[in-house]
Amino acid sequence: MLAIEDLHISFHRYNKGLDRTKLTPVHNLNLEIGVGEIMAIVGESGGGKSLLAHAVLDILPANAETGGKICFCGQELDRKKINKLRGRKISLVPQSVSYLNPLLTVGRQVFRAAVVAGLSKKEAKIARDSAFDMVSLEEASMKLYPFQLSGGMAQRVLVAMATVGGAPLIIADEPTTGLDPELLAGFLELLRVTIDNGRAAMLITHDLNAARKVADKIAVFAGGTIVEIINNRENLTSDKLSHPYSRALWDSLPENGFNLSEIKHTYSARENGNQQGCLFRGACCCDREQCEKSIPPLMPVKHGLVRCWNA
Amino acid sequence: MTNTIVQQPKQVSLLQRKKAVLICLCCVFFFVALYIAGAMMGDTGLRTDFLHRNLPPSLDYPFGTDWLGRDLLTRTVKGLCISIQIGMLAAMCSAVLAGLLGVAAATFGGKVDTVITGMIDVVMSTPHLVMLILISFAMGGGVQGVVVAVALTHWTRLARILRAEVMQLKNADYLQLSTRLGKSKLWIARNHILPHLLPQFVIGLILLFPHAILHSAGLSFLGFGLTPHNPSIGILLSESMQQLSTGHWWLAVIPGVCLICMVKVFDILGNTLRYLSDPQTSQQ
Amino acid sequence: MLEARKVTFHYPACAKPVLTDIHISINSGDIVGVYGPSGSGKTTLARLLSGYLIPDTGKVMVDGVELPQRGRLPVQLLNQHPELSVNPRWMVGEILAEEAMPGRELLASLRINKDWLKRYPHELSGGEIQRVTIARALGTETRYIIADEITTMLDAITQVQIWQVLLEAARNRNIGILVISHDHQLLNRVCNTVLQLSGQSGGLKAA
Repeated sequence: MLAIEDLHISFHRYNKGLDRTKLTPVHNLNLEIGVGEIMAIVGESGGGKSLLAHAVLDILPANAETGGKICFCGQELDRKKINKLRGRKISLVPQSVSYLNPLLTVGRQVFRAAVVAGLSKKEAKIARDSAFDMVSLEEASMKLYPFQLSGGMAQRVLVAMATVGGAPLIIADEPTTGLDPELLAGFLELLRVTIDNGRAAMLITHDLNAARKVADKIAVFAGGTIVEIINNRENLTSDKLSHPYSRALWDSLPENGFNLSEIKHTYSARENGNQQGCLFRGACCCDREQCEKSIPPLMPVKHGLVRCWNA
Repeated sequence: MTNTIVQQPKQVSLLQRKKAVLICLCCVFFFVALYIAGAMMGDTGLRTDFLHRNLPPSLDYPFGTDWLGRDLLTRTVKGLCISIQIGMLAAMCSAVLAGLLGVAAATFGGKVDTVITGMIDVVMSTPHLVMLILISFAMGGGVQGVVVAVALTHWTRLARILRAEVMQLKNADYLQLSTRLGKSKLWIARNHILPHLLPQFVIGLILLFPHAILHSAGLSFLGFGLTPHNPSIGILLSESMQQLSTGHWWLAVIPGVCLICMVKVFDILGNTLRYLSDPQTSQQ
Repeated sequence: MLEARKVTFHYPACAKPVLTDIHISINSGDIVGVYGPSGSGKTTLARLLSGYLIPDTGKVMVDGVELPQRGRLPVQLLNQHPELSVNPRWMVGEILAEEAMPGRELLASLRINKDWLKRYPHELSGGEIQRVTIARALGTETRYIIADEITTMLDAITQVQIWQVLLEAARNRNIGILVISHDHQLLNRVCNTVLQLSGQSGGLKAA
């Protein structure tokens, strides 16, 4: 449904006075999301995961430059097309209720989202009712204002709003941050139900645990690109991870050891920025000549794809 | 945001730091050049010359001449200089008033705040021009009349902005934290609050100039401001009105356009500086 | 010892108290976790213990003395959104040096890069700013740290890095830490004792 090829996002930053440098927080990024799939993008907070979502929705800041191709349902997207698709075919689940209009009832807002997505008033009403039904909210809750919602209800309203217009692709940017475990489980279940109706989702999160509970594929984002894509059909275990960063991420989860063994290297690698060759050189067991020469492409391994010459 | 469609105003042109600095420099250069030109021009152009009355714009007289044969270019440039001086004086008085009252309202709160916000509301709700005329008339017109009138009517917006800024800062997490690191109120005011207010103040001041200039011109035009002894741009326009019916259009149009241009330049300068002073937008 | 004695608190807009008769004590060098559902008053407790809020009744005591209202507090609060607790117009270097520039070792252990010092907070990521606020909070006079969901917004690797430094500092300098989180696994990892804050009855129990 969504295919991203060789995406680059760069920014110009001023050091001092008029001296500018170019930063490229996202580079060489390839990603494909199929129908009925939840693709989780997991990685460093602040590493540029959200930029990926912003690029797909064309809401990057004005000083950003993008390169590469984004294709949606087979056609390549440009700014004009994204403007048409945004909200109709591609919709966003934001982080919290603060993205809702505080002065309108949630029923009204979901209705309006449907109208904006191109439905007639009659259709929008039906769509609204079925959206509320799908996220299992009672009809009475349509009359509530955003501040009256509990955390769990708020998540449901946000999902209802993203799905009401029938958008096949849903992008959720850190929707689970700050939810307690019960709410989190509820949200993930809801997301699963939504996607099983023939949609696809990109779930951006820093929480590997949440991702592995719900996603079909987990893309690990590190050092500005996707370093590994893991098929997550069955239970994820550490031996299915091939990239040193993914393994480090796994080991550092509180339930898996809270361990920092391999990370020091990966960090020093990242901070060196625009060097030649693999960004994680020296972080893994063996350092080959190839690692120094070129950034490895995503190569198929048993449980998915990985950017590592040693896998 | 009312729905999940993210709407963002698209910037038409990408304003960059280099461009912004250039714009500021151009604006400043414009004013300096204008001022120097005004000072350098002798009085020859202001002498009455009945041989060259009512000439339309030509190569010899780019802006034409008036009914007394005075060169309109000289008059316009000098008029603009006087307008700038009076506008600056008025804007500064106004900004200082705004700074004092705005900061006082936010720091002392309570009754002081109620009184000051009440004053702001009263001034803002009365029609500008009526207030201006009344105050200027009461002060007996002239330079002091215009300056006091403009100062007393224009401080409200900046005062409001500064008050809001201080209020917001007072509750900011990093200010509260600073107290808990043992910093004194004075230290916090100097190191946290002042650096925030200063750019706001300077930009507010620059954005006040065009208002002050326009309104002092307006007052003079209506006859409640400067006298013909101070031939500011407002006086020029006012005098030209009597000549308009005789078809001497340049007497009104050219100084008028110059006034608008100058005001716009001030406006651009203020907005560009605002853009540069914000660490976030200045990255773009 | 940092302790709350029979502390009750309600917000002005709400008649019902958020916390009633809360007792909690943290010894120097002790790491205590507080767990509870959203809305149970965890953040309120953090702000009470660090002097940002004043209890309606009851007292907050540090080493037998009531928490002072003025001056350098021995209790420092870290919170979930570090970008709110730094001045956006200050460079990182100035932020760090607000009290006194932290030592080189501390900066190194928090991986605070030298060239960050000349950057503004909005140019750093959340995890990076959190490291900066930690360095600032670990001033020499700090005896207790209240960590309110400080790693909720961060990925697991950054989370480990931050906790390693905090725990090490606590060990070396005998600092007591109150850890507030809804991540039970994390609390089990970092804390000696974990308490449960239950919303309705408003009490703290061993979990």
